[in-house]
Amino acid sequence: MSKPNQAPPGRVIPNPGPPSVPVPSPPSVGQIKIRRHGQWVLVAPKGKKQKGMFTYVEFTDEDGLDTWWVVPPQ
Amino acid sequence: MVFSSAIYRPSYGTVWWAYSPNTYCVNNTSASDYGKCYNIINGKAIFVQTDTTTYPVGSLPCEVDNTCTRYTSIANIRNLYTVFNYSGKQAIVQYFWSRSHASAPQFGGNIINSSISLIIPTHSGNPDDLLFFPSNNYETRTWPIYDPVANFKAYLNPYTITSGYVAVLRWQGSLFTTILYLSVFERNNNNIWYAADLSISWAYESSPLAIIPLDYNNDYVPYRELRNTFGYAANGVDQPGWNADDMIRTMKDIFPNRAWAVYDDKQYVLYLYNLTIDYVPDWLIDKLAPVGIKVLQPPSNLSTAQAWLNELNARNRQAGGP
Repeated sequence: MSKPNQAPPGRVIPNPGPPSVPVPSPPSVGQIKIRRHGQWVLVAPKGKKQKGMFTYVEFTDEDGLDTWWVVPPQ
Repeated sequence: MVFSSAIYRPSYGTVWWAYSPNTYCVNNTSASDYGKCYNIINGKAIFVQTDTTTYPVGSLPCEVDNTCTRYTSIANIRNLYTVFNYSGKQAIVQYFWSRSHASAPQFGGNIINSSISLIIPTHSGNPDDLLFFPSNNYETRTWPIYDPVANFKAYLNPYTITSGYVAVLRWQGSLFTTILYLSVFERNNNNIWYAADLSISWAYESSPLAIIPLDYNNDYVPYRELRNTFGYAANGVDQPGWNADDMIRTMKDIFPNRAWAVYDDKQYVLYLYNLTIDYVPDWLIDKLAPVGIKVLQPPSNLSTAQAWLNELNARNRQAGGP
């Protein structure tokens, strides 16, 4: 049985709507929270990479594209 | 960000990290090493020799060893390169600096009637327009003046060099223009050479960018078609358009087999085509600071992606390219 806020590896967890608190609970093991489109979302990254001054995590976005997103300090 | 800044540092034989001003060629036709260029560090020097009977195309030593670009016709003013061409968008030229070596003094008694090879950027392809110069007899023998407002100063032959002459130019200001060329006074001289390194910086309205060296492999035909979708820049990066979606659609149509990227400056997302994140250089990430990178299409042939990276690095050495 899958738990809430836990996506299959490499997938974005659909945002359930306006959160009651601005920041979600600490991520589960293997998950990373990123800031996308003005909201915090949890992703289970397929990979992680340092590029220049930034660190990005890899996941498959809702549009189906392989996506890397900048990671804030966890 | 309201404005973005751009820089281009071409090298014609010498380069900014040159530790000596000893780049030169031999234009004494009696010399045994006529047509040879020495101490070429980066890029190619320019050699003008119109006599293709005595010196067939490809026969000069510097042509043979790939250290010069030879021209077989004379020119009053030669436009070496288009630095940028933004069609309907304006840029603000902010700064240039050049250090040129030449086979004769770059200044005669008069800049306009100078004998050879003063390399400057121009907005019209015609240095005679003198937007960068306070006057055409500035810094000459009979007018030992310095104009602190124009902030332009030429130092005539400041070094003791092996052969030829060196001039250093610097200009700082703001010139609004949609196009900028790199031009040279040659004044129809033949059997001349020159080498130079330059730095040109400009600003432009923040926009989505098409990141592709458009002139790679002389692939200019698509570039002409793209002019209304986004501008051209010699560094292949600072090429502003109006709408990221339009740019992606056009690029997919015209460059389906090349690698390219589009940066959406509204969403701060960098889109990659025939590329993966591994081929995006760190200096480009640091310049654009994208929050997201999306792969529209992974490369089917890694050499395509590698060519994109190599060309960008070659055009942006000051940013971190090898």
